Amino acid sequence: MDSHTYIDLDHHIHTTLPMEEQKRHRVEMREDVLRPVRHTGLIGKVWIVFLIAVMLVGAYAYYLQLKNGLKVTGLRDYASWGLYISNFVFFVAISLVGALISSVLRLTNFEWHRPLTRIAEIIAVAGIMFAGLIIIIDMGRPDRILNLFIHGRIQSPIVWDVIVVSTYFVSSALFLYLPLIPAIALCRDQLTNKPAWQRWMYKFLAIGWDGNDQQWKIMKRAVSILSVLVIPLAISIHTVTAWLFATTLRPGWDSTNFGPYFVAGAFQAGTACVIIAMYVFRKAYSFEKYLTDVHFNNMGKLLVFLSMVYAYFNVNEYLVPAYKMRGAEANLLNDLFTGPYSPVYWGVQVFGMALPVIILLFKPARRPLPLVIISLSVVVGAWLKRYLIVTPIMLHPYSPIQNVPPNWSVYFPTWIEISIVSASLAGVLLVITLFSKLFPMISIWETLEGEGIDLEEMDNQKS
Amino acid sequence: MKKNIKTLSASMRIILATFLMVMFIHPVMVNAQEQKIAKIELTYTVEDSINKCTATVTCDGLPVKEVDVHFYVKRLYSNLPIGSVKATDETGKVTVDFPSDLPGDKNQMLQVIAQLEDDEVYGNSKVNSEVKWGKKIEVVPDLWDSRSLSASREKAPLFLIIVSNIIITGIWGTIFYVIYQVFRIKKERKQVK
Repeated sequence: MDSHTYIDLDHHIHTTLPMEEQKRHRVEMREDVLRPVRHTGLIGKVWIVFLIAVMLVGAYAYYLQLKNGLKVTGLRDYASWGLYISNFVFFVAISLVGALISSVLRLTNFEWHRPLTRIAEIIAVAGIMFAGLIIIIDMGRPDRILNLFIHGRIQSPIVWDVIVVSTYFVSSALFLYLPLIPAIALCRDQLTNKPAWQRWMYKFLAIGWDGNDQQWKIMKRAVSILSVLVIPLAISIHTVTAWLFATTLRPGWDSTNFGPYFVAGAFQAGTACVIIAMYVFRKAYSFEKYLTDVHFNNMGKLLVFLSMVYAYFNVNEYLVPAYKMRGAEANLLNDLFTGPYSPVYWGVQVFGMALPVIILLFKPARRPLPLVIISLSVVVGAWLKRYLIVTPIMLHPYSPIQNVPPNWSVYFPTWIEISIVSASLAGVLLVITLFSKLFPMISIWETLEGEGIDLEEMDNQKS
Repeated sequence: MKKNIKTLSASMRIILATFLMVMFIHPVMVNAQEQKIAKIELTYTVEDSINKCTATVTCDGLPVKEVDVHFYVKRLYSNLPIGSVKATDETGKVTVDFPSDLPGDKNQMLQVIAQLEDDEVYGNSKVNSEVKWGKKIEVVPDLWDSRSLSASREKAPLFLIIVSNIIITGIWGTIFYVIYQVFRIKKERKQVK
């Protein structure tokens, strides 16, 4: 077959390779993406052991919390939400990136997103999984969780949150799984030297995929449906999380801006997470061919845009109440602007938002290494921002704090909380790491399709 | 020893007797007095449209005079003091004016408590009684019976139930449809075979 030219949806002119070349390219890519699954190096093993060790410390801390109750934490009557809930909001935030990369960019025909979809989806699934877990950890009596379903009131935003978190988890898991089926079938066929349980798992999850015409059609159609479904779900999950705060009468939370403010922040944090993951996978798994400088450049631009949107919501969230400076709101804002929280507050605004926007406007900063450093700064800022959204406000109720033990008017997490939260962060990283050791982290069919190579057609010719 | 006692002077014998009385006999008498149990009875009268509550304190059928009686009405979390603390008269009675604006229960009943608190002789004694002097509470049935955002699970607003169920059914219906597609993929393999 001769080569011919075609124009992709980004208006780039491509020349398709002859069929023999396409097949060679496919085999080459197969080997590249299967390499990390075939073999785990020493650094990889040490990393996994380290993550498990952090999780074990967290498990012990949680055992102590279960045994002795929430008194082992820094949580008291006033600061009843602390590190756990901050972390929950952070996890929900990063989980939104699955919808952004896999759905928004897919539906708006940005072809460059293709090698990034799986990274974004596994971050989404791992994030939402641990968001659900951290909520249970925050409960004083987790054994009563069923009561939430038995006696829950549909009027309560907490019930809405339980519904959207579980719905988003299921749809994200499906969104991860469906485009993965051809890759699982590849693992089933190629990785015959793996342990029996792993081969059984590939066989079970591949659901008899042989790449026939009908299977491709059904899979692509289901993925398209999910692409549309996931967007409102992702927006609603973080909007409802924002409503957990905004539906209460507290200075700092009593805001109609909260839903879009949270969604904008989530897209920014999630994009930074994907950039970090891209960088790590590119280095650790030698994916330079697939996660190119172009991808980093584009993700850098996306991060600038999303940071600007988030900055806009921040201006609305802080500047408007600061202009009025009324009552209890003024106490909170003074504490944030010039009081005890000011170093963290200004650190977050400067290093987590303003500087990244300015620096990333320059193209050299959008190269992989500088971009990943800036993304790290954004992610740390995003985490601290959730802490600032939750904790200072708990300590600034409308009714003054009086006639209570002195330590109730301050909050600082105990080592138990820090260990459990560290374990949850390690858990997210472990899920992503183990996933990348079991399945290819780059979608072959999606990437090759972006290059004008249709695997469906190739499979049909083969059969 | 006997010899020694006999030799004590008269004044010393008086001192010794006084000492023994103070040390042993007086406490026995005091204890005997502490063990006395006072009985309180409450009666309710209305004089010149003023509600009055009278406590009669007796012990072994005899009136107890000059003991302080505390009057309370039981409220949700604690007891509300009624009037000032007064002592019983010669007949063992004490009366307080009773307010007429205290909210009662659904039958307008008030739980009245009269008690002696740490009395030197009678210690603590308490009586509970009910009187229909409570103010009728106007229960606003709408607050609990109508559907609202603050009502119970069963009384959720209809629009919320309908809208949320439509959304949940729509979303989960789509999810189940996608899951069905997974089974279809599996089925297609079998057909090829």
